[in-house]
Amino acid sequence: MQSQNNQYLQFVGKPHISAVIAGGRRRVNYTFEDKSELVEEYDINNHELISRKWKRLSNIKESQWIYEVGEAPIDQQSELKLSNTNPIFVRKDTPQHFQYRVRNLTYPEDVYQVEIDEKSQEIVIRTTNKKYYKRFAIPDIRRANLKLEQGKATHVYKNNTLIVSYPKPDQILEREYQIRQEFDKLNKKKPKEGDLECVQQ
Amino acid sequence: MTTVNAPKINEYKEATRVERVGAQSHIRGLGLDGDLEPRNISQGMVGQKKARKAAGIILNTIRAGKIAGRSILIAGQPGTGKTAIAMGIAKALGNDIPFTAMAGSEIFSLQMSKTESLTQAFRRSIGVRIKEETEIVEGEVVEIEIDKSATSGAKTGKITLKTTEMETIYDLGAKMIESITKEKISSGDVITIDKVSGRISKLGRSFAKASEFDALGPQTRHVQCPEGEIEKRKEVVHTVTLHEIDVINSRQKGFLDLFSGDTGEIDPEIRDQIDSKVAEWKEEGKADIVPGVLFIDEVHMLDIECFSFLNRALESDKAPIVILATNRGITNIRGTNYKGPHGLPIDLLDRCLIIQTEPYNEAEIRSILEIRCEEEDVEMTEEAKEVLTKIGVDTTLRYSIQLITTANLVAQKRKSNEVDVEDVRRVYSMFIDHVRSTQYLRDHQAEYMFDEYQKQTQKMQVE
Repeated sequence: MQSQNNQYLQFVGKPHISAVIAGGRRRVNYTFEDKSELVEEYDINNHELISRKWKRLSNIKESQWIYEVGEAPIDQQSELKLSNTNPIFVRKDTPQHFQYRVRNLTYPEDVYQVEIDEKSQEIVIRTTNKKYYKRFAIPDIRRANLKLEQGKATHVYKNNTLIVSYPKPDQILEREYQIRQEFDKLNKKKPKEGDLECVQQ
Repeated sequence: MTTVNAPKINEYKEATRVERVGAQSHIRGLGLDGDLEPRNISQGMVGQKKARKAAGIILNTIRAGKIAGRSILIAGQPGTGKTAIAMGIAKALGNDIPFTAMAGSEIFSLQMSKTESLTQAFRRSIGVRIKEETEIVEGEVVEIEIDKSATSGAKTGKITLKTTEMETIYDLGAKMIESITKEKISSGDVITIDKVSGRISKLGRSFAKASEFDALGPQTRHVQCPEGEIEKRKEVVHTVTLHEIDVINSRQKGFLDLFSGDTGEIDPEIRDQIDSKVAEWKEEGKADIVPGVLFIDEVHMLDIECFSFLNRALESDKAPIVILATNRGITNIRGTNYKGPHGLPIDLLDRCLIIQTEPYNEAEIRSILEIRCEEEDVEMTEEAKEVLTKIGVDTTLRYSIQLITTANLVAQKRKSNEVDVEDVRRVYSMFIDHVRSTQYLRDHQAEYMFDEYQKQTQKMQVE
């Protein structure tokens, strides 16, 4: 079994944090001691997390952004890219739940099975017709040293999209509340496009 | 079922490209048996037993990897197999051990100083074996579709891969299509594609498809259909050279510079950093240092500064094994007014183990010619081979090798598949070897332009 080790990318040491308003969103940049980076983008009004991406530096080859939340831009020049007929897997949370959407799934509703693999701490999406399969962990829960609980993952299928939800644990809900407070304070200063802000974490 | 569009005949030629035959392409190894004894004719090598045996001992020293900075000098007359032995060592070492071949005069570049060229050459010959996580795509091929656009001639394609749990379709770029055609990937093959490097490996054929095909290659393995997800992160063992690591770290766009070849001078500070980092990795068990081989041909072209640099560099514990080759006798040491054996200063010679190569005898020349005929795909009658061997003995080995393909073309002109004595005679008269050429010049010097020789002899006669 191939472990997706990089999925729960951890904070390494104390990061240097800076935030800027760009493209109508609040972009927070974390730079760590080992020169790896984390970039988060929040909606400026409701503080929803739009995207989160990591970059680890490698001495041997070029580093690439790994997207934890949100969609990575498709490299049109790539020699091997997913055909657009394939299902697309994207994470986009709601205030109370971690939510994962798989678009472009055309099979009937009863084909999908969602369960939690407690040993590897991953959510598994299966299809009875063997057409789609995905295993993924929730990095936020790993980072908080919590565990995925069997039975808590739910799924819904509509509009050719499968939506898998997992409720956020209280610990994480609290932290997100604190972040929203912090952003509200910054918003009081009425920031404009291109403004740099100092953020305490 | 595969929907590969049936290619026309000319497309097949495209897919399996004919490789140009090089002067040393018949060498596959040193041709030694288990006890390091050289077989008379083996792996493209003929005769030259003493030298090959010595090379075999060197080969084992390299493979053991424990002793750094040894240098070997292969010296002998032109056409005695010096470069061939170096090639033999390279092929015998395989792909894992870095082997850098260069000619002495490559050191002199306008863009880099001599010491920088040498340092880069040294660092290109030391490999670092690292385990890395890369993204790979692994699955059984269900279907490959390749279309050629009627208007632009550009190829587009799709490949469908599956595992026991899922299926995915990928769009293919031009280079990927080329690789797939070259590796002859078809439905039922289980393959791995490295997303970053674009490399495709065939793991075998799926058991499920085993009954559908009768004629399989001798090396076909049957494997299970892969399980789980198609896109995975796997640990792969990479061998990169110290030079590549230097380049990537020396600037932002370093990675692309590797391919454009324009690396320029690299800051020694960066090199020190890399060295300490690699030492760290080694201690942590993340990486292995693989000292390789640096082969410098025509080493008499280097000058005294390069030789001093070499002396010093050979003493580091990170030096690769250096193999030098030259065909010069006692000749001028470049950069000085002194002569030295092989054009090298004695202190460098002292650090070298010298392997002598000797000119071939008639039987050996005959065998070499036969090997080359096979390599160049030329059929020759026994009499023609005799004549060619005689020519090789009287003139030089290289000249007679060059006559092989030319004689073949002449034979084809008279619609024969086999080269006969008349073809060999024909090309012998058309193309002159250097001995006859020199003789001709001596006789007709006066008729050539800028004839200084004549005037000098006149001067000498007057005095």
